Amino acid sequence: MPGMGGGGLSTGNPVIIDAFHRLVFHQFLVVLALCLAGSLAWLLLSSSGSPLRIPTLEARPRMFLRNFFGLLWIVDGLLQYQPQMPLGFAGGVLRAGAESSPLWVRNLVDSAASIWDRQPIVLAVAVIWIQIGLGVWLLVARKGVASQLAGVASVIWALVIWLVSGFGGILAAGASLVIGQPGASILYAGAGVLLAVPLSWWQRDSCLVVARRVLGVFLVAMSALQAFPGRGMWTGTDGQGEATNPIALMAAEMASVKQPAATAWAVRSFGDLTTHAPLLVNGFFVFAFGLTGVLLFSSSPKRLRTARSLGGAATVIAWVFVENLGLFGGLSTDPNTMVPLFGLLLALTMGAKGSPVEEQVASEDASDRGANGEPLVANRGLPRLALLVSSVVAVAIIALGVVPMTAAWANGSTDPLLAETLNEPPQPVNFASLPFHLHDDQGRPFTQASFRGHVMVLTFLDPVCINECLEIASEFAVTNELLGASSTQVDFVAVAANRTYNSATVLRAFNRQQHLESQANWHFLTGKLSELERMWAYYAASTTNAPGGSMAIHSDLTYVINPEGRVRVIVNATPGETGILHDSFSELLARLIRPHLP
Amino acid sequence: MKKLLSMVALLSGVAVATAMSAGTATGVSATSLTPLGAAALPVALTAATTSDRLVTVVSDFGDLSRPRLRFADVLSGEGKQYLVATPPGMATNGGIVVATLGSTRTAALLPSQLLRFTPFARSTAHAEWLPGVTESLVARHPDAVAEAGRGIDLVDERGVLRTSTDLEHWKKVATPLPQWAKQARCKLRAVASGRGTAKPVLGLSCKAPTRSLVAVGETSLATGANTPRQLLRLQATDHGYVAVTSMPALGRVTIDQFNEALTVTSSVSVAIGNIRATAVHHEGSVVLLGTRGDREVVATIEGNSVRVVKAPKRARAVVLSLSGQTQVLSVIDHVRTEQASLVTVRSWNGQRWSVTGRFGVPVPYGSSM
Repeated sequence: MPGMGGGGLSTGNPVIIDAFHRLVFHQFLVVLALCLAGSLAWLLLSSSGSPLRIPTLEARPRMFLRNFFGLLWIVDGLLQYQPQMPLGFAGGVLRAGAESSPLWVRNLVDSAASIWDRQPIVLAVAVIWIQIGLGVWLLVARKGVASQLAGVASVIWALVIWLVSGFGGILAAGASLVIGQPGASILYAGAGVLLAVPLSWWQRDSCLVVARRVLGVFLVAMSALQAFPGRGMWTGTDGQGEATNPIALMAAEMASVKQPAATAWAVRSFGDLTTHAPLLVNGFFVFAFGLTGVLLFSSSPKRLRTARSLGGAATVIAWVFVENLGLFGGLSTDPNTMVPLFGLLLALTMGAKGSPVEEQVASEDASDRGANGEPLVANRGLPRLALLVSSVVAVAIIALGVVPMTAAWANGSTDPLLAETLNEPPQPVNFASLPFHLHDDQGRPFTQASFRGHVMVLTFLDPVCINECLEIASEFAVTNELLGASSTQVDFVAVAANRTYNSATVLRAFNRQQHLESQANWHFLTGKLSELERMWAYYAASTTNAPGGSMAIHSDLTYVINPEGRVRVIVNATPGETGILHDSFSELLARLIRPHLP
Repeated sequence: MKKLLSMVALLSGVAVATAMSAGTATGVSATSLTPLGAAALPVALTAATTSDRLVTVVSDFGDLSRPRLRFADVLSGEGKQYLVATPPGMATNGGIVVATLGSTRTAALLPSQLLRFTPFARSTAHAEWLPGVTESLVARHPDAVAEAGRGIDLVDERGVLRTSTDLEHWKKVATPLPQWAKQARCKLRAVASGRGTAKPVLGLSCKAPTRSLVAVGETSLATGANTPRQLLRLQATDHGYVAVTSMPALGRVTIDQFNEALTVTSSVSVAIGNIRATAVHHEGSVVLLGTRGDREVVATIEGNSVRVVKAPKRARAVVLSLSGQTQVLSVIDHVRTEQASLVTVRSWNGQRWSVTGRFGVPVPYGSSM
C-alpha cells in the first residue's frame, strides 16, 4: 500500500523517525570517536619515527574514477538519512522497483524487503554507514592493496544492492537506460571492478581499451533496447489519447513528487514533449547512446572526445529532464543511473589527447604517462601510515553497518518498536490482580493461586472471533518460543470474552485450531457468566454482543502479572495488519515478561 | 589478446541485450496473466424457508462485493412483519445456513477469515439462541444443515454428522454414495432429513454431467438427461422432499418433488437463469428470483403450475408467506454512510406487487476488518 511500510505503519511515523535519527546520532558519535582514535594512532605512531613517503603514480582516469565514485557513495549514504527511509525503503523502493518484473524476481526482492521490514531502523542506519564508509575508503585509499580492496568492497556492496533491487529492474517490462535500468548499482559495480584491478594495469593500453569497449557494448545494447519496436518508446499516446510512452510516464511520475517548482516544470515539460514528439525524443536517445557506444570502440582521440561530448550531453539531459536529478521524493537512494554513467564516460575518455585534463598536465614529465598517453599523478600528500590508519577507520565505519546488518539477516528477529508504535507504549502499573474461579476447556479448575510463583500473561479472547483474537493467540505462542527455557516460569492465560460462545467445547475447538492444546502453559479459561463479567469489569475488557452479525466487542488489553500476583504492565495487544507486526508484538511481549521472571 | 578481449566484451554485451529482451517479454506475459476464478457455490444465494410456524430468510447486507463488509442476517416473519433474528456473538461474514422445523431454527454460522470451525445456534419460538459448535467446516450450501425430529444433520467436508440437540457432540453418519456419484466425482453438499426415511437424503455437487444430484444411500433419484447441474435447494416438505436444480447451460431450473417413498411425484422445468434467491414452502411450493432474457423475474411454482412475473427493483430475497403468498424483499444498502440497510417487503396480489412493509437491518460495518 502506498505510504505504508514496516509491515503496515505509515512511512512518516514520528516514533520510528525519531528512533532512526537518534540511532544515527549515537552511531555518528561512534564514528567521531573512530576518527579521533585514528588521528591519535597516527600521531603516536608517526612520532616514533619519520613517516615513510612513497609517491605512487596513479593514472588520472583512475584517480578521477576513485574520487567520483567515493563522493557518490557518500552522497548515497547521506540520502539514506531521509526520514521516510526506514519504513519506506522496502515498499517504496525495493518492492515498487520490482513491480513489473517476473514473479521469481519479485519473490527474490520480497525476501530481501521482508528482512528490512523486520528491522527497518537498524538496517536503514547500517546502509548509511556502509555507503559513507565505502566513500571515505575510496577517497583516502589512493594506492596499494587498500585502494584495490576499496574497489572490491564497492563491487560487493553494489552487487548486493543490484541483487536485492531485482537486478536494477533490468528484467522489468519497459526497461530502459533513460528511465533508470539496469540500475545505478551495476554501474557502481563496474567502476568498482576498474578500481579493484592492480594499479599497474592502468598503465597498460589494454585495460582502458577493454573498459571503453565494454562500456561501448553496454551503450549500444541499451540503445538497441531503447529502439526495439513494440515497447511503447516510439509512440506518445494510446487510442484514447492517454500518455503511454514510458519516458513520458516516468517524467510525469517524477514531476509529481515534492520538489522545487522549476525542476517539476522542467520534467513535466519534457514529458509533454515526449508525448507529443516521441520520435524526436526517443530518436535522440537511441542515436546519442548508440553512437557514443560505437565511438568508444575507436582509439582516435577526436572520436573519443566526440563520444564524451555526445554521451555526456545525453546523460545530462536524461538526468535533468527524465530522472529529475534522482534526488526528490523522500525515498531517493542515489542520483540514478545517469550520474555514474557520466562518471564512467568521463573517466574512460580522459586519455584522449586534447582533453581538458590532458592539456592541464601537458607540461608534466612525459615519462609519467600511461600506455595511452594519459598522465600519471604522483600522490605526494599523506604518508603510508596515514593511509593505513585512515583505511582502518573507513573499514571500521563500514563494519558499523555490516555487523548489525548481518546479525539482522542471520537471526530473523523483529524490532519490537514496530508493535509499540502501532498501539500506545506499554504502561507500567502496580496493582493487585483479581482472585477468580474459572475452569479450562477440559473442566480443570483454576484460581489466582494456580499461577503464584509464575509470571501470568493475562488477556481476553473471543473464542469464535474471526481475526484478531486468533492472531493474538498466535503471537502468544511465538512469545512462548522466544522465551525459550524461561517459558516454564510463565503462564499464558486467556479468559473467554463472549457472552454467548464461552463453553468449554468452543474453547477446545479454538485451542485445537490454534494447536495450543499441547502447550502446557497455555490456559483458555471460562466459567459462569457472572464470574466472567467480574473479570471483564476489573480488567477493562467489557464484552458486549453487537447486533447485525457483528463479532463480540471487547478490548485487546493484555496484563503482565508478576509471580507475587501484582499487575506490572498493561499492553494493548491489538494486532497489526501484517506478520511483521505480529512478530514485533511477540518480541515486545517477551521483552516485557523477562524482567518479572522469578 | 586485444581482439580476444574485444570479442569477450562484445559477446557480454550481446548476452546482456538478449537477457533484457527476454526479460522484457517475460515481464509482459507475467503481468498479463489472469488467475482463473473457481466456481462459487451458492451460499450467498438468498434462501428462504417457510415451515408451518415460521418464515425464515437468510440474506446478505452491506457491501456485497467485499467479504469483510458483507454480513449475513436471519430475518424472521410470518408474512407481514419481519424481525432481524441473527444469532448474536459471532461475525456472519462467512454466511449463515439455517434449518427450520416447526418453530425451531438451527443456524450454522459459517466461519470466515481465520476461523476454521463452525459455531451453531438454536432457538425455539423466538427464544434466546443457545450456542453450540462443531470442529468442522460446514459445507457452503443453503441446505447443508437439516432439522429432523431426532436431531440435526450437517454436511461437512467429510460427510454427514448428526447430533441430538446439545449442538456440541456430533457423530458421523454412514452415507455411502452411489456408484454413479463416485464416477461423476460428486461431493456431498446438502442434506434433508424427512420423517419417512431413516437415512438422510443427500444433495450432491458433481464435476461431471449427471442425471441427478440427489441420492439416498445407494439409490439415486434420477430425473433427467446427463447435463451439468447445480443443486440450489434440497428441503424436506410435508409430503416428502423438493429438489431445485439449475442447469446453467440450458438456462433452466428443474423443481422435482419426491414422496416419502422417494418416488418422483412431479417434475417441473422453468426457463429461468442466474438464480439469485430461492424460497421453499413446507408444502412444496418454490419461488425463484432470476433472469429471463435481460429481465429480472420472479417465478412461483406450485404443483405443476408456473407463474413468472417481472421482479421489483433491487429485489434481493423471495419469500413464501405462511399462507403461501409470494413476497419479494428489496434492499437498499447504505455502504458509504454506513447506515442500516432499508428493506421493502412487496407481496404479489394476483395482479401486481404491493408494498406491505418496510424495516431496517443494522449492518456492523468495520467490525470484521
